[in-house]
Amino acid sequence: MIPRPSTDLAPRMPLVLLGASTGGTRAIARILSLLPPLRASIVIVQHMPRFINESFARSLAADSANAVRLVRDGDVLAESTVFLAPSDLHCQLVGNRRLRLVPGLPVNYVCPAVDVTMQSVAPPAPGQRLVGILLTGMGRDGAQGMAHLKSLGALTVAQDAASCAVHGMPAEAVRLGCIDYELNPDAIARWLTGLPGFVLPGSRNPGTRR
Amino acid sequence: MKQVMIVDDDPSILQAAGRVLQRKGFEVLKIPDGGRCLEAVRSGYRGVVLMDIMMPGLTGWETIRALLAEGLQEQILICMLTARPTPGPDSAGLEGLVFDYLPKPFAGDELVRLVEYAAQFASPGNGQTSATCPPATPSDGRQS
Repeated sequence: MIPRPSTDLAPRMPLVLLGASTGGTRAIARILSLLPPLRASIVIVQHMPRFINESFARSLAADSANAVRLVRDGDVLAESTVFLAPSDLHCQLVGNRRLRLVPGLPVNYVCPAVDVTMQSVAPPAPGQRLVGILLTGMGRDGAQGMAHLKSLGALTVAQDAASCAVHGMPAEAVRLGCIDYELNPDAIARWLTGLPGFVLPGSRNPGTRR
Repeated sequence: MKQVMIVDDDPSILQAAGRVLQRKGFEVLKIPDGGRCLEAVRSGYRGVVLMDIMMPGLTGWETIRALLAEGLQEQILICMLTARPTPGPDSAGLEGLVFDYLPKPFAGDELVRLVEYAAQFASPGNGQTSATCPPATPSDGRQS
């Protein structure tokens, strides 16, 4: 392992990439409602029509201990913050630090595509933890992205078949052999909360909000 | 009044689902086929659409393709009601257009939970009122 520079003693902010489609809004809402304030930053790509972008972001924010905001071009990732990609633009990470919104053709028939966001993730800085989560959805968007994250050393989770509205995207990722765990939304929240360095010191333990 | 549209060729589904949702205060549009669903959305229906897949005439997937061809998918939230556990190949290219998926047979309270959840996002005028989270547009992507 490469030692961190001595001037950088604080753990690097963990980064969570989450993709979802059909049925994903309810799963995301459940996961976020169970998470305590995190040291991590979460970037979410949920396929949805544009007219619900704001109302979905507001509904998540109303029941989350972490801030939730729609991504604006140039946003800088921040801890305890969920960045929700808006419809009709691809959302890419720049240097694992900033978010860019980029016009483009649909990928896997969708824009934004989970694959585009996940495949824009760069090799993590020494000590930085990456997590990829792929939830319920039709088709295969996100599977290649999860494989990319796995190749960078990420921990990867797919929503389990029993809790999926449609077990399409997660099944494709499992088929690619890039998934560490298959879990339901409650278990995903508990698992994330239990990862070393993911929770802000002093915040409550998993499962105490519900 | 909260609106919901049910598209199904089975009158017993239209009646049973309609009754459950009306009891919860929804105005229910019962539509027996895909063609009339298209007409209703062209005429300005906005909100949740519960859509069967296997229907004579236009199937559920064909109806969604027709809505997409006219750009009408941007005013509705589509939830599929279906006996199939997963979509078949005839849904290819429609990824991202289906908000949720409820397998048949479904319990009344499952249907109500889904429709009430979806309706909070799809009520007329929603998404155009808040100034706290302006939605990004393609032009936003080219700025800065």
